[in-house]
Amino acid sequence: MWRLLLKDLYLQKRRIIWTLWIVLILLVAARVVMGDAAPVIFFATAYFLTSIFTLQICYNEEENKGLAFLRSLPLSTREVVSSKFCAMLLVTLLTLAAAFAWSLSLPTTNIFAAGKQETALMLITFGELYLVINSLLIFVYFRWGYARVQFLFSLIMTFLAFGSMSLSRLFPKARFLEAGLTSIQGASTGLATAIILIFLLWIGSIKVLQKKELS
Amino acid sequence: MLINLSPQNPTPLYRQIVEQIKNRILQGELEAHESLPSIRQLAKELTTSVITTKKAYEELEREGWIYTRAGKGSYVAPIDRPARHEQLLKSLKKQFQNLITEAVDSGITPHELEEAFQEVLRRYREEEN
Amino acid sequence: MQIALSMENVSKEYPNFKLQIASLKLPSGSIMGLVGPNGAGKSTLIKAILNLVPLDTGRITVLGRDHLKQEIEVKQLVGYVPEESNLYEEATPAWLGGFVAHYYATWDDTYYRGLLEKFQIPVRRKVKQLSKGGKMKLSLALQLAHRPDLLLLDEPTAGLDPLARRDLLQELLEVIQDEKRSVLFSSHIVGDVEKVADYVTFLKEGSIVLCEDKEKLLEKWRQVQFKVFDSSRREEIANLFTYGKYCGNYFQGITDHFDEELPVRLKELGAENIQAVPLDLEKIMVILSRGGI
Repeated sequence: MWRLLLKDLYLQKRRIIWTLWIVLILLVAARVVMGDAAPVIFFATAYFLTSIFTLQICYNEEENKGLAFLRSLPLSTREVVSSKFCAMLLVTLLTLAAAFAWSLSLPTTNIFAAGKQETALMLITFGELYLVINSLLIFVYFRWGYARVQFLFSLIMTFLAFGSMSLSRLFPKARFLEAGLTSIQGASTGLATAIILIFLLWIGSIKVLQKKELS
Repeated sequence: MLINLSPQNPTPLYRQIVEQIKNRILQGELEAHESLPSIRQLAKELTTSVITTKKAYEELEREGWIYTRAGKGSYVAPIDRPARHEQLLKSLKKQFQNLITEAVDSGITPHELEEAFQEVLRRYREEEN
Repeated sequence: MQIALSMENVSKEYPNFKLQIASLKLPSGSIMGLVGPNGAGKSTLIKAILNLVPLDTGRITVLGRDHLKQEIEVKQLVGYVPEESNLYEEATPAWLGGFVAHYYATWDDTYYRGLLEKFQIPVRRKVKQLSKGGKMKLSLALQLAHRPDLLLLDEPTAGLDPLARRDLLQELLEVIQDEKRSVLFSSHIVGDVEKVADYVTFLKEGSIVLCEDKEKLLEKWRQVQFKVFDSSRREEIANLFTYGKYCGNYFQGITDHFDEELPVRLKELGAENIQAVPLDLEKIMVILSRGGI
């Protein structure tokens, strides 16, 4: 499985370098432009980026008919699926870690500063949500192909963008949800749920890819 | 082994192989007990299928031109020249028979046939000299 | 006689097409050519062996192993060269060799390098910069280098120039120099199949129409023509042939079970000027495809 990860790293060298440059420029620009702006927008971008990266992980194989190539090798479906999930986890966690680290450098965005505990926990919970979303994207790719993933992705992003903005207005009861999101219990329940869901999606992906026709 | 296969020639390929090997043997280019390439090696050399070279070797063995030792390969059989000669003349006479029948069927007289044959034979002799 | 590949009751259904193979056997040490019109199912058949296409029913046995239950083991012993290159466009032949080598115990790197040189494939040029023929030859080199016992090729000669085609056929013959190794390739260039195949399988609309030893096949098929003046026996004569028609007193027909008896029988029935001409594989395929002359 590690060989497959290395393969992706090797093949996507140029893309990865370009992406890192762009992200760096964006971060600097964000700092310069936004300065005092709320960290939530900043993190929302970071989360969004992880999904883009997940799409890219899927597209790597798609553009080369790589799945068919890998299927013809003496390689188990489990290894192929695991390499994608592993890549997604690495990329998501790295992006989030980078975002958190970056945020510590400014007082306004330092979410671990006093009084910002709640925001920090909410962001962690959302991070768990995104891990599940990204796992779902990978599952959908294996089950229905790349076109459907793109569609699903747009759907999720639209929902999250409008939903998060108007949630409190549409559902006044959602107030208690907010409480759940910003507590330690909320974060740890979220983590447990996330782990279970990701595991199920992993198993599901293997089963689904095993049966899939790859011409 | 230099064999030339001609796919355009209506004679089946395996037959072409048989004929050419036979000629080599008769002309002494292939000596008694000399080893022949394996059917696979020959197929590769001629860019043809193994089943074709196999059939050719089977035919050659049936006609007594070669023999095979299990696990070792095929070898040229020693030929009894006078007997072979006799056999060839016999086969030639048979071919003449078919030719004559076909010609007569088409309306050519035996006299015309003999004249035609003499003409071709004369031309051949001239070319040889 | 060992059987390298065996298919039994294999079927796969699509909305507009159904692949249905009752039985197919490929003896070890031989080359089988799979021919048939476009859309006959040649690619599907080959892909099913490696489970690239999951079957609805049936069993495929590869070198004594079940193609599903021992899938990884089977893939260790099988090489597959697809019709369209599925190699990573950003990779180089050198890198691909290194990547693939890890998965095959029998990988021979010296042989791989030798093949790249022989096929004139630049070792450090990216796949996307190779020509179509170059990509095909690279796929072939990658598959030959791990010395598979069964080599599957899907339309390997399409898109190759005549010199490259000949080279490829030579490579196939090289593979079966070892009696334990076998080759199955599909092609719509019937001439290539006629050249090197030991067995020919003709696929039409998803089913096998014919599967035979090439030499026997060529022996049995003949185009026969003759004249018949006695009108009372015309029908009886025509019935001896699989296809045929009269043009006045002249009859031209195709038989797929020619033997020495036939001309004798025809003569007895009053045929004159009998001529029997062998057919090449392409003509036979055309007749089978069309169902007539």
